[in-house]
Amino acid sequence: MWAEIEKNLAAFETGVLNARDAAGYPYSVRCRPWPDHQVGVVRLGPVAGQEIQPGPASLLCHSHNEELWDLKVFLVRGTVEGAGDGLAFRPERTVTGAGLRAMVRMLMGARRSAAGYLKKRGLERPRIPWDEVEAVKGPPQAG
Amino acid sequence: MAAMGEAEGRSTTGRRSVLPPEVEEVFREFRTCEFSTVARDGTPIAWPLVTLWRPEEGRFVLTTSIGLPQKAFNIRRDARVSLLFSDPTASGLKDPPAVLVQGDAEAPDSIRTSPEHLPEYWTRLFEIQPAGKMYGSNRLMRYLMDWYYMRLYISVRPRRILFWPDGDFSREPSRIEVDRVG
Repeated sequence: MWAEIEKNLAAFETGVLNARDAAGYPYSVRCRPWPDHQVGVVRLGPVAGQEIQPGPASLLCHSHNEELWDLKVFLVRGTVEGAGDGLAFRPERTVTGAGLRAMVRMLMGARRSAAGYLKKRGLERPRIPWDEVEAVKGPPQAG
Repeated sequence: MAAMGEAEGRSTTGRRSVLPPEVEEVFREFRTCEFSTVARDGTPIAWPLVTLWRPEEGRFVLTTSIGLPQKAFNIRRDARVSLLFSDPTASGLKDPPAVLVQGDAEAPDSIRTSPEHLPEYWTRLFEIQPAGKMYGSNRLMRYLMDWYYMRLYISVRPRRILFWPDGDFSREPSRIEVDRVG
């Protein structure tokens, strides 16, 4: 897992730490994560983070281009520890990797998942009103 | 509603808050936010999502397909969520603040299949993500991707808004306590 984390983190300049505050609400900050493999944690750079509570956390790296495409997502679950300059994320499990293969896997999994959602509720697969979908897309772009 | 800076103290219930214009601009122009929900084991899990800010209603609207329903499941168990606006790519904004919205969400179990349920959202989505128009553009894509349009709608009412000028997270954020924003 560590090699996968190092490889994926290298592809992103920044990431988002998702922890919780004292009231239990999610509390997210963008940071510059770098793996400290000697200690087995991901250092998170200078983050004020006084409200971040130690405990379960996740680290999300993602990017898109100017047209919200070329999507890349990398998500790891773990725990957050320390504070301020010493804030660190201890990874435990990769949820999804970045890149085309991971994206295709996710899309195919979503189709199965949708079928499961409907089956559990005893619902028929709904028909999509494609004419209404096409109408909201607007005219094709030139060029 | 009430919204005020930290130096002014907490808001007074019942007053209506006016957001700083640079914060509202972020809500309008950013392409995605990092949307966090709390998993069963207490881990906050974030995923990039497109949002629609509806100031007249004081809430955000997001959607998720029933093919990716975990966010909705998490909300039905624990309504506490957050939206972090921290990636200005394609927003056209210069040195915008980063904004964290903490709030309470609802994710009813109603599957919507028509964009006509919320045309404002879908029009915006196809404008900012034109390549997404390929979902359902031919018979094969309609077979493979019909689940994309089977949507659960998520509504988030802000409770607290924090923002970091210039997106500098090494500084303490400014805070807005919210009863109702708009």
